[in-house]
Amino acid sequence: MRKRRSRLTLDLAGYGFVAPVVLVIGVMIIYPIIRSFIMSVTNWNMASGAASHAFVGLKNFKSVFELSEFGQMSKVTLLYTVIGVLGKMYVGLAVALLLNRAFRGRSIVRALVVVPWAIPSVVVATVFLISLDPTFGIINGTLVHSGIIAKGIPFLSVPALAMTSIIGVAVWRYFPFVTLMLLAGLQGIPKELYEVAAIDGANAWRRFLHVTWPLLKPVWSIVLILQIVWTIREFDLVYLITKGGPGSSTAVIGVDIYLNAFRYLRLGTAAAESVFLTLISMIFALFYMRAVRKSEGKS
Amino acid sequence: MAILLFSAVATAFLFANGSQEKGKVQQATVKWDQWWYSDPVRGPNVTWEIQEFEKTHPNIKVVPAAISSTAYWDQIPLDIASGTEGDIVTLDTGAGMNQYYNQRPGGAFVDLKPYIKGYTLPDGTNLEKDIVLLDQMDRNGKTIALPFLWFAAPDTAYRKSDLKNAGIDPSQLTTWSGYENAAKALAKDGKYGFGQPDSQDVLSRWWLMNWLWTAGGGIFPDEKGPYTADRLIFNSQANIYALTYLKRLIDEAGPSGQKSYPELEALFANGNLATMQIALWGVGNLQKNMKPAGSFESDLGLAPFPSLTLDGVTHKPVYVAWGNPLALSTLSKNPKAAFEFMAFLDSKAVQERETVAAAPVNTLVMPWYKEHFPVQYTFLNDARKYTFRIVPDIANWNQWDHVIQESLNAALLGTKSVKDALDWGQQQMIQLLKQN
Repeated sequence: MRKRRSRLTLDLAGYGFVAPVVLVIGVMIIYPIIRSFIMSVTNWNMASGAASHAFVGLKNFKSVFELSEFGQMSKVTLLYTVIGVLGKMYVGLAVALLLNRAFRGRSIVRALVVVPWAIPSVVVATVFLISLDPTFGIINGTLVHSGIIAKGIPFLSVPALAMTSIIGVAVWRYFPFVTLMLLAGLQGIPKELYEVAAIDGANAWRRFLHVTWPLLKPVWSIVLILQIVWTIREFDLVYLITKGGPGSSTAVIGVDIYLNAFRYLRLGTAAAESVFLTLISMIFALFYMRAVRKSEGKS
Repeated sequence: MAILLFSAVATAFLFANGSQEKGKVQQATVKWDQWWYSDPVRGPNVTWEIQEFEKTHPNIKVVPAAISSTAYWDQIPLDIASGTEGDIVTLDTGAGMNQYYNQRPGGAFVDLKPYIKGYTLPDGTNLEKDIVLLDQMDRNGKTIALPFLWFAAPDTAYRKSDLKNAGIDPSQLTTWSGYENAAKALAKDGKYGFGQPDSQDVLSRWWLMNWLWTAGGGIFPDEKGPYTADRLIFNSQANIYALTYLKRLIDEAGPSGQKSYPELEALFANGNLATMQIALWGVGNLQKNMKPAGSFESDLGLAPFPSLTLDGVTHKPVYVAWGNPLALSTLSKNPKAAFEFMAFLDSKAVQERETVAAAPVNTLVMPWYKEHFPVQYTFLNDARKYTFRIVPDIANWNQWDHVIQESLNAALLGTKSVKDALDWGQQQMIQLLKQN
């Protein structure tokens, strides 16, 4: 009886310790998600002045998919995600491999690499917005003054160039995270394996292919999935630099969610788009969880 | 004795304190939503206006909201939706007043008619008689805002020296064909001949529609209702003509890439741009920034927006005019106090100070304006000879604005042909009308 009571006390204490976290997660994460789902099936329009918001079923989803621009936005989001993630991953890997080598001033370089990731998005956007300007920008200025081009290139006014520019900025901004993660993975690879491979006559490429890559792959998979999830829902950098333009050539779905919610005040439509994006992200989140489990199993 | 003395002093103190409490007047707090409190030029005016008002109204405390200009139009609808907007909300006649008004059942703003009726300020300003644009504030028979500031655009600003060196008579800038020839001739030796703001923000309501209107186009005829699909003229021949002309001018004589107004103003002020379309408030900036020193007085010329002769018919310029009126929230706990401050902002003293950025809405200030800001006064007077227009006040204006900007951008950047861009815009507008 005494044992049971002490067990109960212990259980209650445990619940007590966990309760604040559960409460925070419930209020800050679970409730907003549920609320978004509810909003997505109502005709919530802030501009209507209506006090209540009628249930409209899947009408918002239907209207989103019927929107002529949604196909274009999905294509832009896909392109931005695929090229952006590949860019971040491979630049991140290259820099991680370089920083894994011993050289003078390595610790300073390692610290400097983190800088783009540490700068707030709004600062990054402002710097690139000015730098890429065809008339005042330092990039065009340098190219024109060095005689490489005769007239400034309108990087953000031509659709293909604007897309390339924002992907370039995103790669520059986010590759340090990939580098940091992969560097941690690289440092976990035992040096003996490289020595054995060298004795066997393996060159640098073979050492990378048969030693580094297999052991780095679990970390790579996790970082890759994280990058996909983060890039697919990206909004800030794109909106700050191009606002989705010119035209809608760089309008990722995140930009349209923002416009629908805060410019057009159509919260129902914005919520439907958010739910759609959440579901896509959740698919990758499942892959992420599988990859984590797999990597934990291996270790 | 000591006890008696102490009791007397204590009683006297208590009484004195009590009478002080009785004399204290209940203070009403009024919050003013605007976007220029942190602006280095206009911000000090807000502080001065509040201080001056509070001197004569010690029972009213005015609190200015510190919202940046970029965040303002995103924050206001959220504030109104959540009922947390200020007692006084600054609006923009070009940013869809109806949209905000309709956010609450019965209207988000108080009908000011009874407040304005017969109201005369101590300086003699009669709100009914002396304030311009008051008629533009009416929505369904209600006056939903009080005019505060007034803006007009655009005039053509030019560098006299550049025109002289190129052998161009300034009068050439007053017609579309003359302007085109002049701009092309001026675009040489690293200089640009033409500057037209065409970056994404708010270009439709201020900077591009006047070209379409002057050519006889627009969104709806004269931008008057009813706003129905069969009355749309967005893909009209007039609009196609205007945009094709404008694209040619930008491509052949303007700086590459989209340019915002401040960027063009900097180019003009530094002498790298010979002509540009300017707004009334831009004149003050040029006064401060034009180089070399003294060139504002000696080298700045202003020409009216060009007229267009098409198929033997002359289309006179259509100017854009808009205002920043003040609306009184229906949720204000101190509406009378709030209106006192709103009215004070239309007083002569305040209106004179606010001319740093805009034209006064108080007509009694005009002689003073003419004396102290002769260039701005000339601009305004020129503009007043022609038609003033503003984009239609459609309830979901922000969506319309987005469609218009996308269409015009696509046409000017060449991502779509002018006709395709306008056809696309018209289709989107039909969809928007169906949503309403």
